[in-house]
Amino acid sequence: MSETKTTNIILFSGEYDKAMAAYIIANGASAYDHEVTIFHTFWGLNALRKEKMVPVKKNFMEKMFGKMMPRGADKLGLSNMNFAGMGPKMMKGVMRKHNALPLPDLIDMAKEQEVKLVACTMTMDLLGLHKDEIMDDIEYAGVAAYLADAENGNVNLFI
Amino acid sequence: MNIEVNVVLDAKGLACPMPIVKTKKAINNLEAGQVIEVQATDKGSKADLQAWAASAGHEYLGTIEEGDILMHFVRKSSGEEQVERKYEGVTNNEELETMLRDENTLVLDVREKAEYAFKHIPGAVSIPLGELETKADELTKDKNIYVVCRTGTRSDMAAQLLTAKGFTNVINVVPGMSEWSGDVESDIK
Repeated sequence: MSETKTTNIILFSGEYDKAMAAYIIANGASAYDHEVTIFHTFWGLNALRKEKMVPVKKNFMEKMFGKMMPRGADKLGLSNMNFAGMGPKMMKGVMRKHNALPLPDLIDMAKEQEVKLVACTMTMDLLGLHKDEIMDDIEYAGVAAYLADAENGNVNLFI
Repeated sequence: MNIEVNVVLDAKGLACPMPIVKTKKAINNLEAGQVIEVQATDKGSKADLQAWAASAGHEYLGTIEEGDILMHFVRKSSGEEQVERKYEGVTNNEELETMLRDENTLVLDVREKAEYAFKHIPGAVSIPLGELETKADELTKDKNIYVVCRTGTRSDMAAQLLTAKGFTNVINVVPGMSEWSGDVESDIK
């Protein structure tokens, strides 16, 4: 077979459904023997946040961001029909019925399949997120690292 | 119906992308040339598995549907195309097609049972290469035995094995089923 193909996904959005689509594609591509990278930037970083509150020193704005943004993949809202938080509950119920994996499980499986999860350090600074607040086994990089992966990539997605 | 396989993977009730992810994991543990049966209920799994197998170089054999359950059969890639053939008595597909009318012709299909089940030459006898050592005695020595597989590699080994067992009239058919254009029959309804 030819050399390994790569899939590069930029997860910009911080909604449950969009993140789910990104992770389903990532897991599928990994089964396709692609080298897969998900580059989390802006609101997509929230999918990588730890659920627990981690005490870190922040200024006023960073504290506000930290409070306003969802803590972790399970807390994300929907991009459509969010209904002030009821939407995700309904969606998760429907997913259970259809045996679709919930987002946190998809993330675990992606890690298990050696999907490279990257957090964009520049936007982490903007949103006031610290490494301590992000889950383990995440790589930290900037746009150049993403481009290095993407320039020879076969699949490139911005979600 | 039941088809002999090396591994059965239960992916029933799982939603996309799990059937593919699980199949990939399971196939990593298989040896080259072995066959896996994937049982799934996800309606998209057939197209998914076909595309995935083609991309990964595995051979998608076919799917049987029983009610809501889809049973997919995939044979792990074996790299057999690169192997050099050693047996000298060789013929081609067209030759075999004309020889089928001769009643002294016996077609021996040495592919796996699952490959045979989906598509084979009418009247062909199925003995997978791995079982030939023990089952060769079931074959008659009076007929001309035309050995077929998918590409001519397994049948090459089978022909050598049969010759070593004292069969004299053994002919390897190259390439075999991968490019067979004559009549076929299937055990799958």
